[in-house]
Amino acid sequence: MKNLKNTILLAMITTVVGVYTSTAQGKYIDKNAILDTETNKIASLALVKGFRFKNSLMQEHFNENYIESDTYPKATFKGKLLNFDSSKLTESPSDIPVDGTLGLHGKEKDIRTTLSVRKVEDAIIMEGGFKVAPEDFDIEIPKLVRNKIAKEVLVQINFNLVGK
Amino acid sequence: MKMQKYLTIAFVALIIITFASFFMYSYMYKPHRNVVEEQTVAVLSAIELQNRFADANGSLESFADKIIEVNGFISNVEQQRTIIVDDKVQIDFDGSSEIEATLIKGNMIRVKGRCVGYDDLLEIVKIDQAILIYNY
Repeated sequence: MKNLKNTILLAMITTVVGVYTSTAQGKYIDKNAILDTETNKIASLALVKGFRFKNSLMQEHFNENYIESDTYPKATFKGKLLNFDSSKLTESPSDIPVDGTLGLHGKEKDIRTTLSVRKVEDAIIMEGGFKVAPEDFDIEIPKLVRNKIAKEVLVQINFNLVGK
Repeated sequence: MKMQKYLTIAFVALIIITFASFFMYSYMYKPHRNVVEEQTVAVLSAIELQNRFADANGSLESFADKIIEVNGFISNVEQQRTIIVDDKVQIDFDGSSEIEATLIKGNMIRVKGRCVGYDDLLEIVKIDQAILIYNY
């Protein structure tokens, strides 16, 4: 059951897989996210039901008791990159501050974090992470299992955005 | 005589414990759903499926978490066992099947998989744990 900590952590990780081919400028798309380089806004969405756990009972509890994925199927992140100019990006990563909100379980939380952003050929790669707690999103964890579930959840950002 | 009584109690207790732990174990480590064996709820085209979700603005999640079959033409082949069908449905194949090389853009395919839901950011329906039914 100690695995639960890691599994919940893993489950909240958004994965990389951008593969749209590049044509026009302006919008960059990953499997889970869109970046608009004109307004510097970024939006990301993950379907919570898609999170896979090693243990099926954990997955069931995660979906039914904690995250309630029938009622709240989506996890979203909307934000704005501050002081960002996509034309100045290079292959060496630069730290870009981001202001945004993470939406989950019907609640929203303001997030301020820094992402490491670099350009590789036509793609923009963003990496980073921040921590949130289940209480931030009104997710109640029964006393009995409190020690088995992570107090803080690391949300990893790993976008490979390709121009579209 | 007393000894025998104790032995009987110990024996019964042992049987109860064995059964209890067996049920506990099968409850805690029950297997994941098996897409191959589960009955398909609906068969429809990728375009139809996307319309079903898009029309209701995502509120009609009638197929979410259900096993469905979808057919259409591959419009994009992505990394990590993922394809897009008719620009409307994104399909993730199960890690265990060896099919990557056979998925070619333009092929007509039919898959069975679990419908995850509707991504209203990219306007696509997502399916995971897919298995290939035909591909040509």
